[in-house]
Amino acid sequence: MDSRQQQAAAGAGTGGSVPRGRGPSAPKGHRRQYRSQKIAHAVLALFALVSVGPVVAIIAYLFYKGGSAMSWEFLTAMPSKGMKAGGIFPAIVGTFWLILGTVIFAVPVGTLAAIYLTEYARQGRLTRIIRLAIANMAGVPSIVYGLFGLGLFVLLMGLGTSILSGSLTLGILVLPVVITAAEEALTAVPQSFRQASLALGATRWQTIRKVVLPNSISGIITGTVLAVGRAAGETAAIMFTVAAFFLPALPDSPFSQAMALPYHLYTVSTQVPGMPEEMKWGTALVLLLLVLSFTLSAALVRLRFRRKKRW
Amino acid sequence: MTRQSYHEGLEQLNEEVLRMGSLVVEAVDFATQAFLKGDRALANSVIAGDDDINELSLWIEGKCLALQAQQQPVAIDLRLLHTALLVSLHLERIGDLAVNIAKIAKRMDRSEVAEPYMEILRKMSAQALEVLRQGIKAYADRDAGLADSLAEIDQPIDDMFKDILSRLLSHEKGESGEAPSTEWATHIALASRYIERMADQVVDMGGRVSFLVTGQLDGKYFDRAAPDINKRFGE
Amino acid sequence: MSTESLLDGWKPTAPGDVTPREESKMEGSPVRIEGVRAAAAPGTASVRNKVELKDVSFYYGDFKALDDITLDVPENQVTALIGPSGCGKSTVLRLINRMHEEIGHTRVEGQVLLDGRDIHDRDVDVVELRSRVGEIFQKPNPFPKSIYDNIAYGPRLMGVRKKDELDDIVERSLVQAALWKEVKNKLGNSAMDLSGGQQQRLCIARTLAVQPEVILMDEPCSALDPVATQQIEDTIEVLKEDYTIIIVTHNMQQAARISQFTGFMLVQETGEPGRLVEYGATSKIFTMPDREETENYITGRFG
Repeated sequence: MDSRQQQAAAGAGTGGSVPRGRGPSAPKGHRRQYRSQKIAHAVLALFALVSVGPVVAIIAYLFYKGGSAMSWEFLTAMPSKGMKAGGIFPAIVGTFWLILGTVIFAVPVGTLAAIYLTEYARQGRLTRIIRLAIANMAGVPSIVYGLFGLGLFVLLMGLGTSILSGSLTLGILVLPVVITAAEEALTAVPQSFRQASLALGATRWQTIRKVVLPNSISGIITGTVLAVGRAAGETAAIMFTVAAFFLPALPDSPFSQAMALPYHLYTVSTQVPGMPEEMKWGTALVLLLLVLSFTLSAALVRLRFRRKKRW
Repeated sequence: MTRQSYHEGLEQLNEEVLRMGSLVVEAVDFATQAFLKGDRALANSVIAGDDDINELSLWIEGKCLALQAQQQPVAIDLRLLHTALLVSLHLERIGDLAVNIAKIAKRMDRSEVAEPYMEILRKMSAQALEVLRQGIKAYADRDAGLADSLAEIDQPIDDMFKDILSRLLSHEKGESGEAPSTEWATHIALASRYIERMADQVVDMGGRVSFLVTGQLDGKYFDRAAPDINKRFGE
Repeated sequence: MSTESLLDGWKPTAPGDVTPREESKMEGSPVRIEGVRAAAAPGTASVRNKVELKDVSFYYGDFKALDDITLDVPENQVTALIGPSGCGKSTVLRLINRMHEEIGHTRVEGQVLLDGRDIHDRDVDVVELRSRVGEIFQKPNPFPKSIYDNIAYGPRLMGVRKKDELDDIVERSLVQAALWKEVKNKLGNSAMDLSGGQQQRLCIARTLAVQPEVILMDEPCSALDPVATQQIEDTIEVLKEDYTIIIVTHNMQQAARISQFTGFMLVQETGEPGRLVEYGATSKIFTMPDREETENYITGRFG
């Protein structure tokens, strides 16, 4: 309720005992303020809509174009007829293994690094440099990670084009996300908990294990899930390290090559002439839903823990 | 119970004031008996016993100070501390007066005992002891009514004191009988004066008890009789 | 018993310790207000000093925060540190359980003795030290766990695993902290559901569960209402029978009420280190302090 309405309401409520005509300030000035406020609201709301718009539009468009391709067979069958028929099952399986590998690598490394940075390292020049490096890692283009992975894992370490090489590459790619999220989660744990624990005779590591980690696990999980979303959609980094255009069989070990959804989408869109439209869009839709599901579950985890947390 | 040691401290203080009261009653009782009977041993025990009373008085004063310094007493607790301090001061003075009487008992020449004087002093002593007992009872029972009545039962003592003074002075003027020695007369005058003073201290003490109960500071207990007596004494 | 000899004749400080009857048998003047020498007072007596600070100076980096503090803390008594904000009271506390080490870039000169042993010696295990010297913080800081788990936290660290043993510790600690009656039927509830005062008593119980010898309290009532404050003070009064308590408080009336010894600390001028201006029996400090600065502070004429 703005001030004029309040005044009017008060006036009505008290039988007009409030002098309406002689407000404390000039009504004209008030009106101008009020108008500019409304305009600001409207503009801000517009920009908020603009930023949400594309997401909604993309989802809607993908459903419109690719929804018809959705079927059980599309999700569970091997591709056939040079990709132009059948399903995208191997790409889904490949992406699953890649994500699993990425998590196995990135989450422990990232969390432990974050623990070192927040709980052990004396805050100074070294930690500043490390944090700067992490921030820079986040800005490196993914194709560079792809080439790095090719050079280090595939060639130098001799892991070949494999799920392992791809997972490690993706792991490094998402490491900044995991570390940053974990650091945030750890620093969000009140200092007073650590003090209480240390003062009770706990060691630093006991304090981390019994007080700090249990109270930051939700943030770490959220960061992990977001990182997984990022990894699932990544194309350039897996191009040289793991992805195959087409494989007749599912991968059977970490050293196998694998198909993956984003790369599959890339190839069927650019390399396969006469590819049915709805299959391209359908693949895109599956990839998007996968990524969205990760983001959404991250949001749910966060919500659940926030409700439980009271400090 | 909250603030346990504080409340225990107050309780202990109260008990020590009462204990001091009973020591003083004893001292007055023995001192007047020693005086009336000429019992030097009893007189000596009263004089020796005064140390205990004095120490108790200091202890009470210290306790009052400490409790006030540390415990921020208010309301009834504050009034109790204030009252306990002043009551102990009155009791200590009464104890000193008892010592004075005991000293006279030791010095006075028994041969000059004159029965009429001794009869009055016997009555005075008994009455003073009664006033003291009632005063302490008023404190113990927080009885403002009893405290108020102290002035009334003190009145006969003042009257007897005046009686003794005028008798002594009548010898001087040759109005009655053979005049006693000046030394003896002084002892009698002082002893009766001490007894009268003791009872007056108790009446003032009653004023403190009344404050403890009602919270009213009242001048009515103050020694009204004194100027009157002094005037007569100076005649 | 204990305090009486400490007080060098100033008996009434220790309510209930000496009855006047016993006193009157003693020789000499029973009451002397003068004569309690500041830092020397507790040390001169037969009572054991649990904690001793000897010529302690303390630096944060290059900044000297404490200068030449000498303080004897007698066993099973409450010792209070008072003084204006920033005078280093809490820093003194932290030196006693070495919590200052959690800040980094600090340096200690002099000795801090616990039972005569310098706790800043290299071979003193800080973890063991902290189990002997507990701390209660300004703001209640229970863990976001159940009441039971909060109290079992310390014992579990020390390897107590048996359920019935833990049950006993939890009950005993809560009883000692005067919280048992209020929470005995909801030990599984979150500690965060308790009121501020209950949380602080829970923190006291949590500390008691590791059976410390010394309990440091850093303004434990500053976040609490008067009723909760009263309950904490009552708890402290009982605890002092079994523990040596050092309490920092802004509230000098509180120091007067609950402590037997009081130290007054002051930073004379901005930028200077905090110093212990005066230390002695609480009754002495609040009746007849030796130093003018102390008198000005406790009478509100400070500055």
